[in-house]
Amino acid sequence: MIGFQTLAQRHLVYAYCAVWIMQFGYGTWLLLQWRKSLRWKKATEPEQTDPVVPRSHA
Amino acid sequence: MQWFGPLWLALTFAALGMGFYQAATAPREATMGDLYRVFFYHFPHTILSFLWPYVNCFASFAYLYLRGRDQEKAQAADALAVASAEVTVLYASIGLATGMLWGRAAWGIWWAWDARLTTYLLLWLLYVSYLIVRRFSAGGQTALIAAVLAIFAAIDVPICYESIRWWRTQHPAPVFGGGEDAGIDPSMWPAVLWNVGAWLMWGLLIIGVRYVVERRKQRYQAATALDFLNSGDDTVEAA
Repeated sequence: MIGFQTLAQRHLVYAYCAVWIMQFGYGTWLLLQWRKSLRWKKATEPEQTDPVVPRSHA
Repeated sequence: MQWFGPLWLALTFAALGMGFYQAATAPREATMGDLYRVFFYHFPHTILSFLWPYVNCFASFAYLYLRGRDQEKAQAADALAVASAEVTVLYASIGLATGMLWGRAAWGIWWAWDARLTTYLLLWLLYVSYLIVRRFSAGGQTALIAAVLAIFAAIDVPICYESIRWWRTQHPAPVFGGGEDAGIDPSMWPAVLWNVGAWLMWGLLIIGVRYVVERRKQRYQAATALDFLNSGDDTVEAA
């Protein structure tokens, strides 16, 4: 069991925290960017045109 | 292929969990005790931060080659370059942070201007400067300037990698491939391999996601610019 008493033990815990905070901090930012990019994707998709209505039915 | 992303994500989280379990349950090291467990995260992040710059360099070469030939492919290469540069900074930041925390506890100092630490800091600064150039340079030459900078930045990678062989200073000699006295106990190998594999999978995942986001951004910016130009034409005609 890893304790939290000595400098070495504290720094081991800090190092593990640093890894997970930085990686999943970036992951969270990326997730937000992904959500934002869905709007960009929607804006650049070809617009749905109305189905062509034959003149005789118009 | 819709299932590939979620499957990769699930496998990555499983591998990260297994890596954490292996790192926590590996036997204690004789000299450093539990502190050496930093190695299971410091090593994978550092070694992978030497891999991503080559993805960045390859993508930058591809951009320079393609930009006069195929604009769509050139943009894709540029998006890959951005994604890999960001992940390089992320992994190198973790390599630096874990190394400093380990150094403070093991050596009694946060930092030493030895060959490995200095060249690694330089690597980090080069890729931070790459991102700053991309963020703040004006005009249409951003991708070109960034691509050239990326190729120069990649030169630091082999220097940094070999620095612990060329100059014996504060940083320990290579654990793997460092001669007869180097290496780890076989019981520690699963923790190393699981973590290298897991963080490699995670890195590929976030590069992939960042690449898709950048491609969507490029298309959106191109469409916005086109709309602006078209509206400008209308104004001229109306005038």
